[in-house]
Amino acid sequence: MSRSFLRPKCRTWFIGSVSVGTGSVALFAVLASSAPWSPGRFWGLIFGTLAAVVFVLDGLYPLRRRLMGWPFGTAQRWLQFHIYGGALALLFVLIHVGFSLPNGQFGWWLFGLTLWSVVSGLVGVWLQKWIPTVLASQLSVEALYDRIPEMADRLQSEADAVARGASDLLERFYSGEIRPSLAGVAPSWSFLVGLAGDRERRLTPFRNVAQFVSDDDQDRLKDLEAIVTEKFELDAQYSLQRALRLWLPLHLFPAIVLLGLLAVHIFAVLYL
Amino acid sequence: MARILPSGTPTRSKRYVLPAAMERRWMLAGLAGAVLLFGLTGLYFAGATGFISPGDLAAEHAPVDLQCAQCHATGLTGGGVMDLRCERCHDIGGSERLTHAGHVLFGSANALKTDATQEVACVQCHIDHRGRDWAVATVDDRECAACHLFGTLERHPEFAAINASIQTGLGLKFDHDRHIVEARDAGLDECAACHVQTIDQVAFEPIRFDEHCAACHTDDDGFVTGNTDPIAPDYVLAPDDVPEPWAGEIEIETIEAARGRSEYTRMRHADRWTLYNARRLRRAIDPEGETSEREALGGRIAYLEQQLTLEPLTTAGANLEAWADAFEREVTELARRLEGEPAAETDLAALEAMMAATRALAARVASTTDAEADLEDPGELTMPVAGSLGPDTTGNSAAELETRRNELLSLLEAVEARGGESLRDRAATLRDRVNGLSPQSGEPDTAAYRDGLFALDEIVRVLRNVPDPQARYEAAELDVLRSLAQQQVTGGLAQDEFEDRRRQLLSLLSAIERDGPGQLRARVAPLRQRVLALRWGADGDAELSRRLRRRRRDLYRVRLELELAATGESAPVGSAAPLRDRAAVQAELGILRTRLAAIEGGSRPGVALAEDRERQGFALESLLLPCLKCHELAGPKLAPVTVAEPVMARALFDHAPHVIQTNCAACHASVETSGLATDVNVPGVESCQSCHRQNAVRATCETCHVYHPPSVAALLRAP
Repeated sequence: MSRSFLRPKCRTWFIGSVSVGTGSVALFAVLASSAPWSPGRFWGLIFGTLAAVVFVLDGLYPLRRRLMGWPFGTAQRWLQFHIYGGALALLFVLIHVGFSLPNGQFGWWLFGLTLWSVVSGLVGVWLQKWIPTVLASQLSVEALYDRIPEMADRLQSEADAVARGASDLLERFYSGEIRPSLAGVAPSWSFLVGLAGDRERRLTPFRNVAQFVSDDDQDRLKDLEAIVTEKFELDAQYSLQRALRLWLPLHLFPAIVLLGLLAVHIFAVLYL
Repeated sequence: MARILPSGTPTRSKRYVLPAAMERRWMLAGLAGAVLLFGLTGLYFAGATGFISPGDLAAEHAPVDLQCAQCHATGLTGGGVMDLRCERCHDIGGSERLTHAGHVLFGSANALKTDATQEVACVQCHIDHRGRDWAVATVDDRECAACHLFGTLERHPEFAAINASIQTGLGLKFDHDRHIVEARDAGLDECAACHVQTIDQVAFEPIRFDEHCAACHTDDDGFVTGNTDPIAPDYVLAPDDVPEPWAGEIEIETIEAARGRSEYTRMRHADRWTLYNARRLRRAIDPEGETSEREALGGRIAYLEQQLTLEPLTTAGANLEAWADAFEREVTELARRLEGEPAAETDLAALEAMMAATRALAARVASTTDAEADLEDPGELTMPVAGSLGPDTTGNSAAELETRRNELLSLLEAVEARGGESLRDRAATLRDRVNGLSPQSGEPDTAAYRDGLFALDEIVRVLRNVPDPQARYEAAELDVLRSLAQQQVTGGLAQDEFEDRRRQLLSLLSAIERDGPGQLRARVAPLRQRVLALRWGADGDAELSRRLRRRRRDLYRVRLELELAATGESAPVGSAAPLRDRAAVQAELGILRTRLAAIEGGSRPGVALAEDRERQGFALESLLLPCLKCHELAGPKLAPVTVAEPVMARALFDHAPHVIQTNCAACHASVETSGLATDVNVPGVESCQSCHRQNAVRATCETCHVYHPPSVAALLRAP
């Protein structure tokens, strides 16, 4: 599978973000070499403020429609800012603390949540680019997430109907090795890694048993193989779509906690 | 019949932007964030501050960990770590030793430079909340580079002592070259014969005459070699006439010389008879100088004793509200005076203040019983043209002159009424001259204005000799104001005039303190402090500004204690000065008390007349002739000996790691040919740079320097 899906769609944003990031690191290197760096001094505060502003704007992403697109205008620009801005915000945070580890509990919470939010966001970008590609290129079954359990049950009924009246060998083979795998949706994280291996693993028993099955049962065997293949793809669909769905809370809720702690941090800095 | 939709089929929904299921999740998430925000904030204000700490404090500050108010001022407009809160523990005496100004004063001894320096907050350099093992006292060298632009030892300029080439004020004549030869001939170690390392090998034991010099510089009986020159009996007390306790252990032998004079011999080092008579002669020649030195020593001793006895400021046992009120009043008064004496018109304001004081003094003098005066003819009295008195005096010059003339006349009348015959004659002469005052036409004449001030000075000098302590006190105040006026008019007194004037004022204040009532004595001390704090070259504004700044600091300290007491966080955990500081202060007190004892006590001869001073000076030199082989005179007294003190007073040098790696000659080779004590026999910076450099031996600023004066005593002794 080519990695073209990782190529940035908006090169301008990518180049701009890389430039800003490189410039910021260079500025930090120059400033930190001439004077001790501290989050509370002028430049440390500047980068901290920038990070805070970007995080707040990123937090407004779900409200972009209510804001009528302000301030970025289009959904595309909103998304690009959300992604690249978030990555830059992590860099700004690292510069803000002078690339050193935090010292207190609160600092570790802030740092950890920042890292989690940004990394989970970038993982989400990758998932949202990769999963549709896999779904489109490696799976022939298309199904809505909510309907997959029902479809899996129907497949089991179909398989039962095919296996009825089959030879003992085939029936034993079906009830022992095939039917259990047709019982309900079987999601797995391994689908995120790749599909070929699992698919091969599920179909290998059919090849092994084909030489022992009579000619009359070959058609049944092929039908069962097709059903198992379809079940496999439903499982893959379900797993991959679930990953997309689960990713959002894992990204969103820590990000909201981060915004809350950020407000506490800003209050503490201003008040104390 | 409606089509049955399978489960999961998306429907057309009005809630496209935020589906119902997602909205619930968003609201829950928002609620969680709000709970977190307000909950944590509420916890903070309820006292649970631990979670908000950015890290543990260093071990030294561990006792105040989680007590934010001990260091942080709170408030959205005025928060942050305040230096005042650091000083609650680290400088309870308000010596300003730990401020940036203290650093500048310690390094430069320049008060004007100190006053002009920008404040640097403690937290600029000392960062905390980095864990228990963090060295909060260690400062990055780049902080120093903010002012000392060379930044590293590699680029350090040549040492000032080397650039100066000679040392001054050492008090002793000493030639290393000859002594090294003598030591070598005697089979002694050339250096260790005199320079004995301390136990820790950091420095060397003080050089003592009895231990290191007496073997060669005294005869077999322990007397220093040489006699005095012939001295007339009027100028010294014979050994039999010296009172107790100085009379003990005098072994002086008198040798009759020509013309009724005597030579004296059999003197030991620091001979009591010699020093007693030297003190007498000094008092006769320079009473003001001795008084000034005694006052200065007394002031320093009092200050250092106070530093030792200070306790942290607390609301327990002290009426801090009353203190705050008193400080506030004083700050208001000082600020008013500072505003009332702007630089451009200070001369006029100072003159007006002086005239008001003169009027009060005239009234006081009118009630004195007797007056002795030594009034000299002040010369022609003229007043400058009106324009030089201020910005808008064109129409008022005649009226102002008339006012001042009347004031002077009333003053002189009062003096005339109370004085003896000679004083009345003098006052009459002055009155004629004052009557002859008239404005001159032409351009502003600062010189004439200055002459007028000098004329007033003469009158003040008369008044200082009246016996009324109150009158003399007010004359002292008048004179301070006159000095301020003169500085603004003329750009300042010459330094010797300035010191001369300070000595006179101190002498006057001592007289008042000795003779005046208790209430008046209490007022003498602050005025003495003001006089001692005056710095040549500084104008009156600078002195007032300095006082105002210090008093404001005191006020803020007291207010801080009251504020912390109100919030229940007033328990200071700091002690007074750290042990190292206390030891240094006590050592300094010992030195100062010894010096004070050396100039106190004994008889007080009459003040020498001008024509006799020169002869008394010769007598002093004759008396000290044996001493002057090695010692030096500083005016009418022996100069203090500082020759064995570190050459570079603003650096720390630990001999220990150096002496184990090399010998003395590696750095002090020049002593072989050094014939003068003023020679600088230490190596230059290049010698240090040969080892102390990056990736070699430690080369940070702290290797050799301290930022803060190591003790209050060291700040007081700023080089």
